Amino acid sequence: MIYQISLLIILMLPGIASFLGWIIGKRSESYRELFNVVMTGIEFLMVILLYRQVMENAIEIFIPDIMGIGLYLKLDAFRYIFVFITTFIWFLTTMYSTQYLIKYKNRNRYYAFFMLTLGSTVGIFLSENILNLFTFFEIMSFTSYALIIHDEDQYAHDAGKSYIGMAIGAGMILLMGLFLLYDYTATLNISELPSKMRTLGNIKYLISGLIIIGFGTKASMFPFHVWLPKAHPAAPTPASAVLSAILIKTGIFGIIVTVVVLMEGDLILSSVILVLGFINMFIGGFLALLQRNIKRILAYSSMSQAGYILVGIGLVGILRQHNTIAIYGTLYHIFNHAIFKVLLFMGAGIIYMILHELSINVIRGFGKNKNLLKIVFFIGLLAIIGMPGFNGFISKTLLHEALLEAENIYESMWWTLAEVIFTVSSGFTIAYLLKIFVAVFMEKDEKYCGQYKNHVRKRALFPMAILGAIIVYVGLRPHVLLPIIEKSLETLHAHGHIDPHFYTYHNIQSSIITIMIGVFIYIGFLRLYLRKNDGEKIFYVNPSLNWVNIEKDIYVPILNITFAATSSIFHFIDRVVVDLVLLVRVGMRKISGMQIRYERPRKERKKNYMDVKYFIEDIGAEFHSLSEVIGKMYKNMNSLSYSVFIVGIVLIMVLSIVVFM
Amino acid sequence: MEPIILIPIILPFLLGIAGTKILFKGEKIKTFYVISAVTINLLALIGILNIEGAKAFHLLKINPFLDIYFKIDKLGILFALLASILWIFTTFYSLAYMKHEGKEERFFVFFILTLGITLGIAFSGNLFTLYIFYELLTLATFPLVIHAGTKEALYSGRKYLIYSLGGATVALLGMILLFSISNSLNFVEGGVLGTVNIDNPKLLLTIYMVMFLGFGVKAAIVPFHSWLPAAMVAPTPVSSLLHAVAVVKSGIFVLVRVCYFVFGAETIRQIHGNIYTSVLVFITILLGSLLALHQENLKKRLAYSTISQLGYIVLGIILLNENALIGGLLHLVNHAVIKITLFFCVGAIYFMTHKKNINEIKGIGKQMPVTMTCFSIASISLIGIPPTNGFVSKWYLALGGLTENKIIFPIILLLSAFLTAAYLLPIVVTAFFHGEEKKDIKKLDPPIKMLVPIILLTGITIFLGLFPNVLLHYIKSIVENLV
Repeated sequence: MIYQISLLIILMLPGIASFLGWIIGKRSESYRELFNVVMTGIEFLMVILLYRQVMENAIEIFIPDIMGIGLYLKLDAFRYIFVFITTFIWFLTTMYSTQYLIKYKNRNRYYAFFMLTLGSTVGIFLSENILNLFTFFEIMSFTSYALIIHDEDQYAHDAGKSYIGMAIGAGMILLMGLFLLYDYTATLNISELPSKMRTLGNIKYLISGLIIIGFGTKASMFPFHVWLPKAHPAAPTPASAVLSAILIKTGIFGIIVTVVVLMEGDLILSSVILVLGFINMFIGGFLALLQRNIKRILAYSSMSQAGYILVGIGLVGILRQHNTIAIYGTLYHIFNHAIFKVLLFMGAGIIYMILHELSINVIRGFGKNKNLLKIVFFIGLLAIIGMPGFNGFISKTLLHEALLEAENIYESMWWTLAEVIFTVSSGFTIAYLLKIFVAVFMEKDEKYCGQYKNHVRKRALFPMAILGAIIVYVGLRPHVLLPIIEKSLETLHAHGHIDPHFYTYHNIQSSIITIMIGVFIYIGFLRLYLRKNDGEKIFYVNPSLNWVNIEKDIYVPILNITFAATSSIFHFIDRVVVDLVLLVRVGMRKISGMQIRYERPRKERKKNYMDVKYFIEDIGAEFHSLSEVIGKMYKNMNSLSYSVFIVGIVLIMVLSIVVFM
Repeated sequence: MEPIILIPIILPFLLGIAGTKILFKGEKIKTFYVISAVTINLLALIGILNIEGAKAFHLLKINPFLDIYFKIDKLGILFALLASILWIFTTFYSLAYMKHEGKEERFFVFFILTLGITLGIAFSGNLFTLYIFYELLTLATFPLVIHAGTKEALYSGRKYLIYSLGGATVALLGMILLFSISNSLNFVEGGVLGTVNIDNPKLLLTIYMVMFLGFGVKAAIVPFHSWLPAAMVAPTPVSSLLHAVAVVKSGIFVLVRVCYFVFGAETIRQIHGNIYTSVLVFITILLGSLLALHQENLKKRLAYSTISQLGYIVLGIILLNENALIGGLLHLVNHAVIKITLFFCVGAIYFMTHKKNINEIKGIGKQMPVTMTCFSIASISLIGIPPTNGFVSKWYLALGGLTENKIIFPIILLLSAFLTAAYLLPIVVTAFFHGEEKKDIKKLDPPIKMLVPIILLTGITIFLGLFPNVLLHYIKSIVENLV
């Protein structure tokens, strides 16, 4: 019982903290910051305390009547990985935020939404009922929107518009999937669904496809990634860090639940995910090479790393009985990516905090003398490129081994291609990070000769140091995470036990080769083609600015054209009755305007004046056409009844058209 | 004991007429009088609902057609309670709001009168009685629509009259034709036509269409919707209560009566009436959402949004299955609560700052934080994002569409939900996230009489989203016997 209650507290605490923090913040900013750090700390602590219980048994709690279907929460080992990493990262980023946001406005709002986002994200990972999951997912979309547009400038609003538009659209598509899911299976509990999905025919591909599009948009899956490179640079750095590290994982979580749990690793679906993963990996990596804004480089990097995870998910389905290693790799990479990506973002954020600039053409040489920052950033770099001894190496090795296993089972030339893409994308990772590192931390620039040294706050570096330590620790003792991953195999319908050896000659060799390729790409492509020197200054160019842009050149025009076309149609329908009435009236006027009697010229009339005078006086008026007769009638008749008459006619006309056509 | 059920219907009439004298006697008396009038009426309503036996009453019966007959059933109770409760909220709101519109006395006389008529619609036991109250509703709300007395208001008022009376006339034609077949217009669960052989489906279809379109005018079914945006010249309490709840929902209510208590779901299926009407409903949903995007005026935007949302409800009615009807009736309640909140918020903005258009309200969220927060929550609910009540009804509507094996219905719903987001969220974003940050922001949240209804209604929105079961079970018990 105590566990159930603590589960509820974990879910509710951020929401309550958000509200209380907001109230406290109206009085005192420093108390609020302390309060938020303490609250996220407590949250993290509670999650740690549940570890023992989760390793024994999953914790479940069901509260009926909430939202009609009840609130069904579950914490098993699989979910625990996500919840753990979420609360941990949030704890660190909250600490970091207290330093980062000092010069920002609307801090109170920021913290309120930051905490709400935490609550809803934890809710996503805890939900056992897929409708609960959707609820938290939508709440998270809205609360994170407030974080993205925090700056309230034009760029942030544009990015926010892309983000919220795609988030809502994706939410609708996801909801469509859920409608169908419920219609066909009559249940929404994740653990009950697999057996029901098995009995469905091809409709299950439609259902899972819709759900995957919904989640894939959050996971920055190609071609729904367009919001990502805009939103990440727009948000304040701690927010971009959690966007990259955690919010992408909510999408990943949904995809794992759909592909691995609901569809039990269906081969077709897994292959699609695998291919999309490779596309993500490659395109994200390649576009990251070209960028100059370091946060945008990191954003594309997240897209590329999400590709690795998607490949892992795809392999889980494809490898079937031998999928244990793919699951290990996927889950491990989810953990690792969160750690090192937050570290890198925090590094970028410290630079932005001081210079308010993110373009590497401007901040070149900034970090040359800042050794502490340089070291932690370098650790992050080594982790993401998969250098042996750091955590990235562990998960990339696992994923790579899974890929090799697939190559063994299904012999086909496509796997060679996959292997090449995998290696080249890893090379990209190395190249774009070297680009940042060399430009910012190694090159020299007279502008920055140590005058900012004291601006690098120790308290902002502290969370980075923790992350750095974890990277090295996990890198050196990779077995530390394996028990929880092994336990989570149950949820993913997999069995078996593997005891991977990470530091073998072969693994280290392939890692070194990959790094060599990356260095080669850096020197051969980046330095040669993208780095220009106009005599005075050295700068990077971004040729991709003129390339086809999925959002600007495809999505927006299609949307605009459809919108304009449908709008004009509906404008017509909107006006049709009113216009019809007007048309009838004008038509009547026209008809009645035809002259009955030839209008004689004035002179002639004068001549005959005597003859007709009495006659005219008799009828009381002089008129020459039917319109004047009607005009007379019109005056006498109440205008209302006339209108009623017209509308009656129109109604009957429309009716007869509708009924008898 | 039977005539006792007339009390909540007649009482507002008497109070309204008495009000013509009493309301002019001073500020305090007026406030007291109006509040006590609507409250007493609600109490009377609850009172008679608890009296056993008082369920049906013939007021006047000349022949089977000319028969004024009241009957209390579950559907009527739902509508009556909804209207009466929202009436009380609106009363408090308008006591503050109408100060700047002037001529409050006239307003309140008709305001109280309309309550009685709405309850009359709810408790009508046959189509003829319903028709009488339906016409009365048009007449009683007309002075409220033209309240401002400007040229524009008069023009809109005329438009409102023409549409409503025209529609009712056409519906009367349908009633007469129907009576010639069925010889009874009393509401029976499952339809009076159940026993009549259908030897002339074409005629029956015509009757159905005539009545659907005729009564549909008040439910703002395209192409007879344009009175609704025009009627937005009325003061905000009128727009919110009448054009989001009482009038349009009466239209919907009548459609439910016609479809399920007169024709019956089976008959409509046999004559394929639902196919013809579903086309119109499609257009209604999309047209409302799409044109709302083009409106700069906040109230007009909400008016078009109402058209689209009414389309949701009508969709629930014409799909003729259980889930859909549950969704429709749920949305009848939910949309009323949501839309009245939205209108109240927009009215509060106008009341405090005299701003009507979107581009004028930059940064107003910082001045009116409470109002705009409520507006945001209501917007999210109208889009249908869980955990708000808008989601619950959308869920059932979509399931209803799927039960009919027509995937197009949920698609339309979601498309419209997306458009709803597109026309409501910019308001929220402009209000909160645009504009300069000022050091000393003047707090402009409206007076307490306006603010409390807004907050309470927002609370209801969330409450019904989190705990829909009580309402849901009640609606299920209505629907069980109908489909």
